[in-house]
Amino acid sequence: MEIVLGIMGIVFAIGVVLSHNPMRAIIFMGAFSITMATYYYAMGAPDVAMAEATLGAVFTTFIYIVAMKHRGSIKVAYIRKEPFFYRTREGFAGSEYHLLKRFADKNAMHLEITRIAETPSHKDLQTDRSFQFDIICGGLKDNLSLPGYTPLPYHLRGFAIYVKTDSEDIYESLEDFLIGDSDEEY
Amino acid sequence: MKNIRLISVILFGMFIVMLLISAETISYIQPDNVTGAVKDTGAINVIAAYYLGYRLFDTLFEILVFTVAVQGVVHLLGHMPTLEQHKPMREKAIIIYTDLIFGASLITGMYIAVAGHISAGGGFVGGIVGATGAVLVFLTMPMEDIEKEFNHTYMAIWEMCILATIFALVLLPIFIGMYPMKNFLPLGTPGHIVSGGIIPIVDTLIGIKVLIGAVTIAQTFIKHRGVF
Repeated sequence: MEIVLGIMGIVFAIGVVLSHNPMRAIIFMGAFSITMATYYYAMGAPDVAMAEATLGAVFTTFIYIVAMKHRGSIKVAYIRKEPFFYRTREGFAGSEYHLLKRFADKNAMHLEITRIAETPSHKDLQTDRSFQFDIICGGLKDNLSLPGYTPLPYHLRGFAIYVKTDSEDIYESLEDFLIGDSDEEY
Repeated sequence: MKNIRLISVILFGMFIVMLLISAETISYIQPDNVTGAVKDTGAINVIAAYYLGYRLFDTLFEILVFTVAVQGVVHLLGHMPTLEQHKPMREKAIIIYTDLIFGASLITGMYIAVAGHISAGGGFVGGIVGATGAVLVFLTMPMEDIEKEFNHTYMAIWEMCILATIFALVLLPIFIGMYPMKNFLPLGTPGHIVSGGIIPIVDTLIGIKVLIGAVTIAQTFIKHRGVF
């Protein structure tokens, strides 16, 4: 009995290390905890077994599952402009892209990037319902008037990232992030 | 907040000073054998006799570590923007099922905590078992309802009150002329639910405290990171 449980424990532990998918690793860890709880019980330690089963198998698994997931996504629209926001063969690049990417990583968010041809006109913003972006960027000057969007200037004078006025959360945290960033580096 | 910090410094400072001046606790007491442990503490679960009897000092700081962990989670995640759309499961069957499980897990957890001195279990395990049901309920409730029913401020106040009660209970023997952490209540007949002096009381308090802490952690995680 103990030998079988011990071998199962080792197999699950190897499973945790070798699985590429984080979710699978979490499930393996839960299985490992249950096996270990049974093992402790078989060895005559019911107190430790209970603690392992509740904390290891239930609570830790729950916390990990919640912690692993992305909080949500930021919808970004960009106008291709070479030093600010553009796409290379390896992926996106540019100063504004890297700022947004670092902001998203810091908040465990995911960037959904769409390319738009040119600066959207008033008519586009007011009538087109599919035009739902949280952020418009790509070397935009800070004196444009885009209804529904607020310009957020950053360290490059004269340029701004346009954040949707409704999404105050993103605006505030992005403002904090950009100002803190420029203080550090410039 | 400054006052609370000051009070805590004074409180724990007093505690340490009292420990240092009472030489008896410095010399660690140990039972001769298992029967000796039952006789000393009145708890037939020797594990409980150890962690709430001979090694109560260690357990107190374990409780503090848990408290600090909960505060850390609340503080660190509190800086993240809250999730706009928390999508709970709203199927009727799941709601009824989780509500039923909530009662079962709460009562089971409290039983495990209260009867920690006569059977396997104890406050830490009992608290987590009790919290499991609440966590399940969180998956089915909108965030506003969760915040209404499990008010974070009230829970934090309760948690701190319980922490203070545990420390008061442990320090109380000083004022009646015994060394701190002495089991000053009558030990009773080993094996009965009312036995073991302060052990079941401290166990129950730890159970409630861990329950509140675990619920707070789960609620904070769901609030700031969502579930699905």
